[in-house]
Amino acid sequence: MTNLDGPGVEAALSKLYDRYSRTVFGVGLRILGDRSMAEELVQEVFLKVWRSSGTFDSARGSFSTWLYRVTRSVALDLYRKRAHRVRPVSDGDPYLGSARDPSAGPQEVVDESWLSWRVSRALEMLDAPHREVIDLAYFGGLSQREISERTGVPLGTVKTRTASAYKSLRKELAVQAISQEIIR
Amino acid sequence: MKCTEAHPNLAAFVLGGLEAEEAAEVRYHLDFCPGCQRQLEELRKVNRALEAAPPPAAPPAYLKGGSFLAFAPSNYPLQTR
Repeated sequence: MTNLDGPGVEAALSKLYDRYSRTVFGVGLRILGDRSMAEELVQEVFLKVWRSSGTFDSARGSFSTWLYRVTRSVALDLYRKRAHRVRPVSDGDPYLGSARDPSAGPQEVVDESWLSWRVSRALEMLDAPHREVIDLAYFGGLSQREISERTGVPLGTVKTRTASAYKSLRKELAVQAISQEIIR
Repeated sequence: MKCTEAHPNLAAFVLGGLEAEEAAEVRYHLDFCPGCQRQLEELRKVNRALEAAPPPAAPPAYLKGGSFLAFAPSNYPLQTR
């Protein structure tokens, strides 16, 4: 990992931000279900990265795994904060006031966040042309022919890129699964 | 259809992105090809994993600037005043 002490700190953080902020933001959107809270998550996570970079130990896992732990911790804090925010006005009843949010609990948040993180990182590892076909095919629901027409890329190339992207995702997700044990 | 013709189409098939005629040819091939069936199952795992993908969205550009204000030298965590 880049050194986060000294005069080069802003450049180093900028590089990390460019590489990981989409994943942190996307996972935040998925878990917290709220754009402003996902933005808060990004800010808090990178502030924490800067302040706690000394706790990163490459012998215990990759930077991505460490950053996931930081993101998970901050997301849980925000999740609890949100539960506190949406607490109903209790009319003086302290028990009603401390009632838990009836939606998913913190453990479910953690479980889901790890899977989202893995998939997001695998997608981020694709280069732009391969990412584009996955975005259009999977998230956009376009057929291979429609992708070809929209992008101007020959149909055969679209198919090759789709197959290649799936192969890369399969490989990347298998690699990332290995680091799952480190997190637990 | 041979395996070499079916393979490049399997990911698109899993995504439901082939034309009806092509999809039918792949389906027909799969009925008789255990190798491609195994390949298909692996690709379906990727599809299932993608269900957990966050929406393809980037944080707003202003957020980076805001985040980096906190990294100004006056806010260095190890600095004592």
